[in-house]
Amino acid sequence: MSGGINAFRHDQSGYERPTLGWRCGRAAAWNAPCKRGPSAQGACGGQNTCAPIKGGEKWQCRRPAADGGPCTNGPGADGSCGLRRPPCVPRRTLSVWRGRLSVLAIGFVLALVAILAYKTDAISGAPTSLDPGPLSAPHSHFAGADPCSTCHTAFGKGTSGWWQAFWSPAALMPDKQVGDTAPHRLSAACTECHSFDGKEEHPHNQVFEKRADLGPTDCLMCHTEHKGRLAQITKLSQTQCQSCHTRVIKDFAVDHPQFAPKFPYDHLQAVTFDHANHVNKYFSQSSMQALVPPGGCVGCHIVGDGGRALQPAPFEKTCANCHADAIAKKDFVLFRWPEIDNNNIKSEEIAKACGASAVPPPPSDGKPAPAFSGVSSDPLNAMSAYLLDVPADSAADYEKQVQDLARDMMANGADPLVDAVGSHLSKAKKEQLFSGLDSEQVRQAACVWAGNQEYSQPGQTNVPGWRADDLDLRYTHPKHADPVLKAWIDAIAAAPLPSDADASDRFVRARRELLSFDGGPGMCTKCHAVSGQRGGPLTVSWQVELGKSPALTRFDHRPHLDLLGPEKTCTSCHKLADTVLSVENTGLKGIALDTCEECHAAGKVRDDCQTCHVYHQGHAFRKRMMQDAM
Amino acid sequence: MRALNRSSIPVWVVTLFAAAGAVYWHGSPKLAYVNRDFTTGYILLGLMVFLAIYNGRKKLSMLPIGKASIWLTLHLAGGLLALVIFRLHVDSLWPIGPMHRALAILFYAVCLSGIIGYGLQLWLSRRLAQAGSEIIFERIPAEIAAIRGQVEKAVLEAAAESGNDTLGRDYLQSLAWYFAQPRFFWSSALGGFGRRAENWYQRNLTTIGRYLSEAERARLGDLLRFGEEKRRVDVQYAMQSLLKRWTMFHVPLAAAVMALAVWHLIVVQVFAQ
Repeated sequence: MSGGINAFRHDQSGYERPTLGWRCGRAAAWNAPCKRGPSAQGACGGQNTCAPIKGGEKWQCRRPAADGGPCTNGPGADGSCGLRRPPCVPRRTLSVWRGRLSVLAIGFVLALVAILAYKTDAISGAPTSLDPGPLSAPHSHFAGADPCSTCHTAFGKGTSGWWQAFWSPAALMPDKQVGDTAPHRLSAACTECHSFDGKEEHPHNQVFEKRADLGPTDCLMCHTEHKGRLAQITKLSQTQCQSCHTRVIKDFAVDHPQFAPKFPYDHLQAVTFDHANHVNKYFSQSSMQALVPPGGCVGCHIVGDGGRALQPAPFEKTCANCHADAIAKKDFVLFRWPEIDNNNIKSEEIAKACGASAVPPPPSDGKPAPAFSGVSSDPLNAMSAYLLDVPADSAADYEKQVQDLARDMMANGADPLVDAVGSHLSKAKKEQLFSGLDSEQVRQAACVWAGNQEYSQPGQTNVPGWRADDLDLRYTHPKHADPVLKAWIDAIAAAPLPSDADASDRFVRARRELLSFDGGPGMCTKCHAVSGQRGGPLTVSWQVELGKSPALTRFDHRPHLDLLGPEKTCTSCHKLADTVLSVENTGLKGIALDTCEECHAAGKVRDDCQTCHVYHQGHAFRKRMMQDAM
Repeated sequence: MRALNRSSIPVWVVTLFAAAGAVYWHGSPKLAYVNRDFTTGYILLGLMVFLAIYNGRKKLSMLPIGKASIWLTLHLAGGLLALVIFRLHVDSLWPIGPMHRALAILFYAVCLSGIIGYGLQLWLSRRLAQAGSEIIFERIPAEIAAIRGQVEKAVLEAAAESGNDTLGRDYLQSLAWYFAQPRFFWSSALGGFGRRAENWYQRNLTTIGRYLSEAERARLGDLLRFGEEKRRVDVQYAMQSLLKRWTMFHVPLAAAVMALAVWHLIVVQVFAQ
């Protein structure tokens, strides 16, 4: 390089200051720069070679040694430099241009943000500086002038709303959510529409008393929006499940705990149906072939609906072929005229209530009347004993109440019976219990029974319904799902147990007779399960309730049926039990884990937690949504 | 200046542990239900501020706040950590939403320009050493002016000695272009150390040499020497220019990222809580 260009002495070189704002204009034009350089304000500093100073009377040249030392011209009389040059135009340094570009970039960004901040029309799809991305498909149809405000409470509230939201977001939460019910403001917005069976801030919407370490949850822990229309915002990861479930399940086939032995029949089925007994014992008989619904399992179960459980076809299409007649043969005897030892009802009473024709004629041979012998030899039936609240073992115990009832029935027909069923039942319920009962027929029968005779009902005797016949008042020829019979069974099953021991014993007998699965009226409980505490009210399950439990699991038959094909594959999973009613009342074996593992395993069909488990209980939409939409 | 040497190993070890710890923390089942976006976002913002301080530190060279090489190491390590945290924060390489994407584009552009810049620094510093001459960037205009002055002096002396103006006219018509300012920028910066410049002035002087008188021809050796000096200055200028000017992209992009990140912070703080 040329001499002195890399020198670093004050008397040999200038002092480069690249961080200053200006550089010499001569250097910028690739000429030799002046040593003094531009001023901090950008003025040329090279017009004078030096700045003379006054020493005594004279001005002295101060040209630096690097420029050759004091010049021969010397300063002027006024102290001006003697070596003047035309000025240059200083230029900005690189660092200044970099700073300017940075400011320009920031300005461009802020301008773009400011311009687009006013374009908040999310419906039009135009980009805005508030747009965090498209909503998922289910949420993409939020409508209204300010769709963003559906969830974001600060939206549209101006600068003050932003300020408030930035520093104290809880202040913008809906009042009803403030406190411990919704720890997150956006979660509060979620629960405006979404509802659950339990509280939303509890894990799985329920309280786990043994896990005091579990804190409140909020929706955004799992569901984050603005990830695109195709985003699956309900999808959970294995890791998320295992934040609480400490048992690590990396591989369903290896790590998942075994199912309960009775799974999935670990609760009493509404309809008792011994699959094994029917399939192995009855359906295989040649004489039964014409009665068995065709198609195997799908002959009784409706596969078209699919879902968690396959609803059985109606009774008339399945069970009726074999069981309809048995139901019709089991009448319900409400009252039976019992054996009476002493006749306390006078002929005059009968004649007065029922007419002279109702009084039995005296012996025609003129002999004195024989000693009284009751027309009935049966004891008081259990239902009558319960209704009359009398012991049924000895005629002496009940004959007075029975004959009083007969007197009342002679006068008022069925009313005494209606009154006898108890004051705890409503009028509507009583009407349902005695629906179709002819009160006049009851009165006439009472008149006959009071005369110690058997009643003979005129007309047809095989018509379903109430009828008095011989010594009984009975409900005959019941059919499946008979409303009167169901009402009696429900009323008696749910009736409270009397506190008196004898009365309680009579009630239990009557209830047992009514609910008997082999001798009870209609034999309803042969199939319909009875549940309840011993000694307490009972419930009869009339409707098939499939897929009720457990709450946090799910299963869909449809893909399995589609995959395996109908008819032959149900027993691949639902294996018939070797013993009668091995699992609850199904006649099926519990499904073991290895059944599922045949397909759901690593490298086969998906086996993550969400394949079978759901997080929320009873997720639904609030009614308010429907109201708003209307 | 290298950021990976023996003294910087602790910084890189700490950085790698921090990155691994962040990844482990982010994927921990214990924290699966914790909203980590805010945490990673604020960590990322803090890292970006720290990275931006590096530019300010260069302006405060008079303060005893650590060697420049340590600061460069910290800047690069912080940048690497920021990339990891950004990936955890966004949860993908390409986020959803126009503003998020704009932010990602700018962030990637800053990272890319930084990586390119550091690559240039490693590569060009070796080439500068290979080029063989050292010159302070700000003094290059003076050096070119000095060479030009010597060339013009030699041409004038040749004309005076020979009484011919052939060399003088050739200088005015062609050589003056070469000596006026740095030429053959990309050849000097990225190619063979300004071989195109060497070819150019050698071909020019060789061609004109046939038409020169003996007295003029005697000066050709000086002109060739000045041409070579000018080529070396051009190489220095080109390489040092690249080393300085890549920051013209990196720093403004970083400023834009910071501005958009602050907007993102405000929007998230207002709407996502």
